[in-house]
Amino acid sequence: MQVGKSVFKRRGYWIVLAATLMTATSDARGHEDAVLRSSVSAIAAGDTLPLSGADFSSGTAYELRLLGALREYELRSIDVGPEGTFEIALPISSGVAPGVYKLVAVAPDGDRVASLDLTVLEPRLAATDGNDDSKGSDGSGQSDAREMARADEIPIERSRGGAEWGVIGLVVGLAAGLGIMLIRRS
Amino acid sequence: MNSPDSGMKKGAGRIAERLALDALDYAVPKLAERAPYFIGGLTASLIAVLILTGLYLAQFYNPNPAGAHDSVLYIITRAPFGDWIRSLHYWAAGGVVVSVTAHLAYVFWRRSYKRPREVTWWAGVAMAGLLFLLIVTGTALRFDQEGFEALAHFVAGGELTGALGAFFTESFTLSTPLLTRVFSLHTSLLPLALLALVGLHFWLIRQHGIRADSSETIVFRRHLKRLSGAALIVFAVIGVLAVVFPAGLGYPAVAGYEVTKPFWPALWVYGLENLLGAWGMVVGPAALFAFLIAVPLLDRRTDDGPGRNGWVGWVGLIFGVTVLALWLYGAFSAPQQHIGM
Repeated sequence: MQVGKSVFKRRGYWIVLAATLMTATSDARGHEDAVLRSSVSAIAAGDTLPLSGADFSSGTAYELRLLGALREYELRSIDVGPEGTFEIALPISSGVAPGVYKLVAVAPDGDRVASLDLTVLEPRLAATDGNDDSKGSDGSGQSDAREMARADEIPIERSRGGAEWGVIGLVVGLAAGLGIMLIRRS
Repeated sequence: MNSPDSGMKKGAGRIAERLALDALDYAVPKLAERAPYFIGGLTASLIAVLILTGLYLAQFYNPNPAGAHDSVLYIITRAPFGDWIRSLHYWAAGGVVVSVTAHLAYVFWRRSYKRPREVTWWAGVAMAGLLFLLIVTGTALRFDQEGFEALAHFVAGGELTGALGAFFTESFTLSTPLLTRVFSLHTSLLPLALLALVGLHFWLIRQHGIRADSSETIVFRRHLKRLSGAALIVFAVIGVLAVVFPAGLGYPAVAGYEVTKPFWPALWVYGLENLLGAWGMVVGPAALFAFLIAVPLLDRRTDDGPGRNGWVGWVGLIFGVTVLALWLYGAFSAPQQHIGM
């Protein structure tokens, strides 16, 4: 189809054309081709997660990782069978911090091909055998827990890049300058 | 050739025409230029800061109890501008408590709640109540030890007040954790109700005008300019405070223990809890707000002068001094157990 010259003179068409091109060429990394499934959505650290997968590329080794807001754990790799499926019992180490995670399968090229929301809970307490470390000096476990409840704040290392400092300085400076100008002019 | 100044004026004139800004050129008493008459407007501007920063924080916050604390740490350490914006939210929340208290006290002293401004006063009192609720629900969202104890207080208060406080109990529903419901309350229902009341408050002020003895007037647009200037300076100040004294975060909560004190605006309730136990958190705010609501009905004096509230003024003063004393007691007393966690 031939598009008349006059049409392109109209800015609206340029915007539509640009948007269409951007959509057509945009990176599709967010799309996941495979599926991870589990019968549980929350699990105690130290327990084993029943996990199955489908629609993976057959004969490929994938890495299973646990991604949280602050932490990331590499769990194990899986070899997918000829039908693109797998079924495993995935141990979640007792060292995994409780929290909300995404369990992801990562292809050898680094693409995330499947994900599953997973909540990791506190590890189950070990059975009492007379030498239970979770108990306090009174044998009840109460005093240790009491000591863990803290009223003070976490020491947080706050670091800002130069650009962030610049933007904050600009916003604060503009607000102060404009504020003084408005008061003086009124 | 036109000067750039006249060009800018023309442009501004065109925008003003299309936005019907002439509607702002109505007369208001000249005393509106005085600092005490800015406090209400500054409160509104701080509410705007709270809404904007809150919208940003909500993009990163996870209201699931298993992920809430981590998400706050994420906001502080990894989200772009997260630490500053969260600290702005914190300082604006503190600022709004100061400004709304000062505004309420000044209006009480001026007796601007007298006919026909009773509803304006009640809308203001309701807004103060909502802001108090927004502050305590906001504290809980940190989900550190202090936040967890705040949630436990909601549950205890809900159980004490029966059907009235049912929303705050765990048995309200098993489908959603209390933290998630408090998050939804903090980010939807309470702000919506607050904005509706702000609208009502402003509309009534527009209709009844500012209470003044003098007949000297200025144009409202001029008042608005000065107010905007003051609001921007206040923003710059809290912007600096947010950098120099950023908002902190406690350790992840350990259930079953009360070892913290609440955010400073609620310290007077904490002091009352030291004296009355868990009922203090119900009785104190209920008594204060019941008095504030009743003020226009109790002050029957026909003499309209500021500061001549009669016995109502004395009761107000007693309330003020008591809250201050309880606040100091709450701030300086040793942490105590109130709800038998």
